[in-house]
Amino acid sequence: MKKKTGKSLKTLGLLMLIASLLAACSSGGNNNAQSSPSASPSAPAATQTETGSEGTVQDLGEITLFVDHPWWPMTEWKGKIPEEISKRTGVKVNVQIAADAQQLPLMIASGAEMPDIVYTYNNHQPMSTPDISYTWDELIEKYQLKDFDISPTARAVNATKDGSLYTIRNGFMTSEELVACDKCLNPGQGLSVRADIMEALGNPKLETLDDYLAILGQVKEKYPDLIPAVITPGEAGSYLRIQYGVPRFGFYNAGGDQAKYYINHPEQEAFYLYVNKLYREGYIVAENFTWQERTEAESQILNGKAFSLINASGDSETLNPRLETDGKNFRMAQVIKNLGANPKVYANSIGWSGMYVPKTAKNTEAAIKFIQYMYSIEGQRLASWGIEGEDWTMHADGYPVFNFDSKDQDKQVQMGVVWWGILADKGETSSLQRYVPDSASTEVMMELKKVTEVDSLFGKVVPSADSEEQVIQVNIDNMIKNEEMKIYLAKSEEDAKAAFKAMLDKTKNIGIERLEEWATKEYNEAKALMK
Amino acid sequence: MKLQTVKEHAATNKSGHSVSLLWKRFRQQKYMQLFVWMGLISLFVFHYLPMFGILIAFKNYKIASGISGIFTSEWVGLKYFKEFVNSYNFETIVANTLGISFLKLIFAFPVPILLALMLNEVKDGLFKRAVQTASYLPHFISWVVVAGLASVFLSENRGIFNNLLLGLGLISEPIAFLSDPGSFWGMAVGTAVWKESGWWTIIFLAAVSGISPSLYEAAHIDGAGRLRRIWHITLPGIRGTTIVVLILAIGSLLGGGLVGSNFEQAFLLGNAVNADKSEILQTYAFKVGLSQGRYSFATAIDLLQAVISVILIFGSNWISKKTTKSGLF
Amino acid sequence: MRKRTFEDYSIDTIVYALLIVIFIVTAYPFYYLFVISFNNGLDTGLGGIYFWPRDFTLANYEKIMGDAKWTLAFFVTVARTGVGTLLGVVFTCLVSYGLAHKGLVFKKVYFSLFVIGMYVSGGLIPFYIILRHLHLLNTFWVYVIPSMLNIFFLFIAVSFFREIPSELREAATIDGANDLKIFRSVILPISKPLMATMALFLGVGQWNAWLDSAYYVQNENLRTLTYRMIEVINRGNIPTDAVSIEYAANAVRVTTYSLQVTSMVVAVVPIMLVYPFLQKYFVKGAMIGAVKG
Repeated sequence: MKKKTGKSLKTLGLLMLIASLLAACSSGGNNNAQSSPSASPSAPAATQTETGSEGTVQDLGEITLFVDHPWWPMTEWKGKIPEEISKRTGVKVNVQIAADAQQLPLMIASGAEMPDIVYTYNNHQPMSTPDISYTWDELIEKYQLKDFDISPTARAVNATKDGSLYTIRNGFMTSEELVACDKCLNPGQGLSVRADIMEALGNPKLETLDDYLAILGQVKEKYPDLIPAVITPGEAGSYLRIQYGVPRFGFYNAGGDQAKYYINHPEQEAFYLYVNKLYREGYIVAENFTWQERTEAESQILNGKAFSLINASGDSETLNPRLETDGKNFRMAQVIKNLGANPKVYANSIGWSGMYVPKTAKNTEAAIKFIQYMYSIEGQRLASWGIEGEDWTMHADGYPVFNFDSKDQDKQVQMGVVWWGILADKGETSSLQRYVPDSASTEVMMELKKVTEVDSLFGKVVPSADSEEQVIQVNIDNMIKNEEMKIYLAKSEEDAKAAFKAMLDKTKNIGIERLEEWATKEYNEAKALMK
Repeated sequence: MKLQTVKEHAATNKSGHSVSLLWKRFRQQKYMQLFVWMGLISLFVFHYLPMFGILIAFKNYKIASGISGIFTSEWVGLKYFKEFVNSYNFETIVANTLGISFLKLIFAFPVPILLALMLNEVKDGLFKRAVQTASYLPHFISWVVVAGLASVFLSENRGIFNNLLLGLGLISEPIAFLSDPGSFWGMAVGTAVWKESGWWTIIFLAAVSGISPSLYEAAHIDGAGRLRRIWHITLPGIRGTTIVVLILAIGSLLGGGLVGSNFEQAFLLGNAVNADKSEILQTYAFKVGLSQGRYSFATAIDLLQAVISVILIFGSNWISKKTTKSGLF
Repeated sequence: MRKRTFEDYSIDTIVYALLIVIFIVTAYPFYYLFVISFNNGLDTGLGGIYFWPRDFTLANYEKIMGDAKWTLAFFVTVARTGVGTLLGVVFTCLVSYGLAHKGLVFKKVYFSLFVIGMYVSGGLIPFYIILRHLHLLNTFWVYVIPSMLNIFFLFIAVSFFREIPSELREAATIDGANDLKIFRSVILPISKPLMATMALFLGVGQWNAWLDSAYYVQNENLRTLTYRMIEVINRGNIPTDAVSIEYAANAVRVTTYSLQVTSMVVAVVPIMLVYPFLQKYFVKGAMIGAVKG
């Protein structure tokens, strides 16, 4: 017993030693973080030239960049491109990635000292308040920044009701811009089929949704071991709705500037009945709807157990190389043309995440100058595509040609490219990147683009957190997610129709009419403001 | 001694007399009281001081208003509780939460005890150690991985479990574990039992090890068989522990009791297809509250569960004291 | 020595049979996951692996442990497990011993306070503020001090201490010891099963904790092992509705699922190594020496 006490005391002593060392380490580390050199605010800030290549670049010190996406692939400011950005801006960046979705709200609520830049999607509302963030205009004014061009549309779309601009969300293009840039492509959904089986069936025509049903029927008959169709979770709603020309979520303009919720579009029922038919005929399996990950559907294809996949426009390009490495003797072919009679893509987004400069930021000068650079066309291209001439060159037709595999995530992380460009992407840079001439995915995206309708006013129709409208909307969305299963898995068409009607009744009970009333009002107000 | 008598005489009125008695006992136990007070201080600092956050449940709180916002936000009273009670699927949520929780209490609670009893009947050695070690391994498998395992093993099309049952002739058609709402409760209880029983067995094994072997010897000499020995010695020997663990399990009933994990299971194994049976209080609160940034609502639901847990503990403790004379306190 | 009766045989058969089934049902899934951790993630996604890796690779482990930051995180975690468990066991046992005292004044009040404190919480935000005022944020101590008192085990330990035969205490009192000395020299030694159990539960809790490392600490040198592993798992697990859906599409040999499995194996191995040392405290008759002596 005595020996044991001795040994355990020693272990205890060792542990306490380690603990105290770490405590010392941590407080030491803390001091280091606090004494990070901040730019001398007294001297008038040298104007950051857009080209930045000639002349000395002022050392603006370090900023902390907080990315509110736990899955962000780049956790450090490391690699050839970030180094180049730091060289051109004089700003060093310390990256922090959120551990989960609650971390940022905790920081906001507790009044903790915030990082210099916060890049978030989920927390637009709390961040867009004067207590929490600076407006970009304030900082542009304070540091007398020149050449920081913010288009009036971008301003109108991102400003709060009182006109303050706290951020500009990335990835937003107006419909005029989209039309003007014909090679700008938005990611899209798509359908791919087994090329070998199509050939075996005699290459039947696949131009309409009915054709698809017919082919699935043949596949089921001739290849009983195959699942005719597998769908990535959530994408049934997307791809097939596009083909039916109905909105997939949120509000839409039902004519006469009246806003309606997507579920009330008159063609929704036809879409639901189609999916139900797929199920009743045995073309999709019930378990399909329980899959949580994209990989489950994909693995059915890779294993040769399924005939067609409803997922993304680039599926054939991602899956075929893998099929080759796996030694499989079949390939997937992407269906290029839209199968629906009146396909339509409702594009109502006003962008995705945005960069904010919190009031408690330490190095605001470096922060706003960093934002300015990343927002400039030079910054965007450097961060998204790489160094011009070295990593990419501009094709005469106006799209980048890459000297490296820009879609390989390992390469992206190694170079530090693509992702940092998203931070302040004006839409053009990220969408041009997708254009690859003569590729199936590009062709599909171009077909989708032809039927895309942009109505960004709806991006402003977002109920504030905890408002009655938000509660109604959340409850309706949750309810639909669950109830639409009953439509999909109904045993007969009559049952499906009844289930659909029951679902619509439930939306009325929850308060959809009030929601639509509110949305119409907001939509028209936003429209007036835009003029 | 003298000082104490003086003090006793000094307090002349009735209550004074018993107060000083109380005080005397207090001073006698001063070290014990000291130990307890150390715990109370820790409790106060880390559990009671933060309780001012409960106010959020009754206020229209926005995180942008920071800490002061907790006190200055608009008072809305029971608004969020009412919202919950009036939600369109309130009955379903309550039925599912209670159903799964009670099933877990009835089926999952006895399993660690039985397992401990069985292990106790086996000679110490490699087999016993191997089984016991294996039994707690599932505890370390995160629910995310378990959900992944479930989708492989329990799949209707190619899952081993179904193939096994079919091969043994126990069923004629594969069971749609993952999509059939009817099987969700069974799957939830079954996976929870599988995952956590072995871990909780450890507590009961520790309790069993406190029973003196001489008691067994004596009983054997008196001619008692194995079953009788278990009934008369082992079970009473772990009675105290069992009652305490049972009361604590009832306290956490809404979360799934001893084996817990109501939320993780419902969130990971639940899907739109079996939602009618898998949507529970916590998943609903998450979808409509926390994930939408509605902290007041989330706090309100948490408070509701906490109050119910406290009532359950006090209640079951009272019942336990009345029926078995021993309880939590 | 003892004659084995029919009852003995039949019970033994049933018990052994059941235990074998339990062994298979619990050990096999874990073994399966162990195999998966050594298998190429994409290949795993195709299914059909049962007993042996089909496409052996160490890539999962490399990804999870490959970071230079991993070794530091390992030591941080070892330290917090050691210190946190020790503090937790000693402190909770001390408090519960006091609480278990027969005839404790205000006992009902104390218990009620602990029960309420166990369930009712003000949430993350106030807790964070308290931590900040105590200057615990961003230090090592935030890992071990708030969790010093484990209320669940407080109650378990109370029940344990209450069952200790009073003869033991009386014998020591006769020898002239006061409460503190009794605790140290009589109670502690025979509480080995209790403390071993607590050490195991609290230790596992400390080892697997990562939320406090995420919320309460910014210093990268203080991150724990599980935090680092979660970081790796999150990275690249891009949700299907994120803007740049095709950027993520490509051939990574390491999938999210295989990373999760690998991190689980990494987390369990130390526990499995430590547990055999604790197992001997669960031997029958741990209290036996005390009464006689």
